[in-house]
Amino acid sequence: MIIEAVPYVVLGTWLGLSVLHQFHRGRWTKRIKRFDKFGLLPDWTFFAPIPSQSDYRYLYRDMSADGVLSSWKEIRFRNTSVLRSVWHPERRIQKGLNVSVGSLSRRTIAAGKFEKRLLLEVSYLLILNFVEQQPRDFRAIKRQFTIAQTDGVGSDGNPRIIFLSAFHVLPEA
Amino acid sequence: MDRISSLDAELAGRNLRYSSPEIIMLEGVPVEPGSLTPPGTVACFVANQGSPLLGQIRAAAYRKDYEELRRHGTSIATDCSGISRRRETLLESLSDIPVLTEFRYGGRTVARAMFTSATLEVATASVLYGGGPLHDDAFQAVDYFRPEISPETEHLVVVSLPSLTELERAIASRVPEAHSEGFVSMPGIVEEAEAHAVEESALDETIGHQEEELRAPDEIGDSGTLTTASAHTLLKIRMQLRKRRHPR
Repeated sequence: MIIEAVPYVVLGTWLGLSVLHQFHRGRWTKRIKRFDKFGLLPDWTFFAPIPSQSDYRYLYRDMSADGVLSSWKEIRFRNTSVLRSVWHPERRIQKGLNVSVGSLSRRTIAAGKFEKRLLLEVSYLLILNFVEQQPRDFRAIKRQFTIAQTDGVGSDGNPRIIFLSAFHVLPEA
Repeated sequence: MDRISSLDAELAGRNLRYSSPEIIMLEGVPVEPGSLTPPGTVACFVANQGSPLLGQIRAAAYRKDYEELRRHGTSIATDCSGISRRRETLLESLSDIPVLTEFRYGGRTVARAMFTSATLEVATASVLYGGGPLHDDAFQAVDYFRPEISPETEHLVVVSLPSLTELERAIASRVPEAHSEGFVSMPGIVEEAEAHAVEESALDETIGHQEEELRAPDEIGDSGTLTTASAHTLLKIRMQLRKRRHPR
């Protein structure tokens, strides 16, 4: 009987502490935070101060030796597997790219311009390397990429271009 | 191993015949498994003169009968996998093949070493095509044949235009072709790429002194400026700079 009650008590306590944890004033909040060494209690400000309301979208196009441009092609991260809710390692790549874009954005805004030295930053190299690995047009010698922002479903027709690269030389196939 | 000879060496000893392949453009091909001409590809075909299968493929492409093209794609794939499954030896060596065909676009080789056999009536090879103008007369088929024979091949190229999504169309309309190279922008600084485009010359002027510091001519080499270098080259430059700044 006591053993059966244990999960209810543990989960109930966790729920109760989680509720208390949402209030940022009061003595109990400080105490709870002090004991929550492993960050087990969720906070509604997890995505704060401004939760993400838009998506970064990555597109590229190729240039041939005679200057002909291909059309833009979006890089898709879709995983159609039925197991994607439990196993979707590609999300890490997407997350890494998004963090890199955020890093470049912050530094550009702070500097007031896109400094060329950012081309040698790990963030930029990571994005460029990822873009270079995408399938290429058979005539391609250079590749340009763009990062656009859209605001969820139905906003694909109205993207905001937040970054447009120069044409980077493609490595030998 | 001795059966495998070098392709280049084999081709060097053969006669060449150049011809202009027939080009068919397709638009709106559905994305289906086994498709012979999926959107965003250029498919090259070679077969013996008068091949009924190539004739059917050509007719289906002209009629835009995508279902029939898909059936032919499946049938060719089945033939290929059958040859592989049976471990069938199509030839003893490259020199046994009477004609080896290569497709070129401009100066670039698109597909090479294509050949047919008794069990493979039509040989096909596809490459990715991201859109943009293509010039029919830039395509060329080259037959490498043994001197003692006269090649009787026919060639076909089917260009399947890529289908664009709403986002891809929107980006295409916002990024001007005239400013297609050498400008960069970032959020907070710009809303519209065209209006706020930073020309590369202006960028160079602004950070000219940084450029001198960052430039490593031996690494940039023919890759052009820092702005247009590949990720690999940029990484090498980064490592060089780090070594220079933090020598052991």
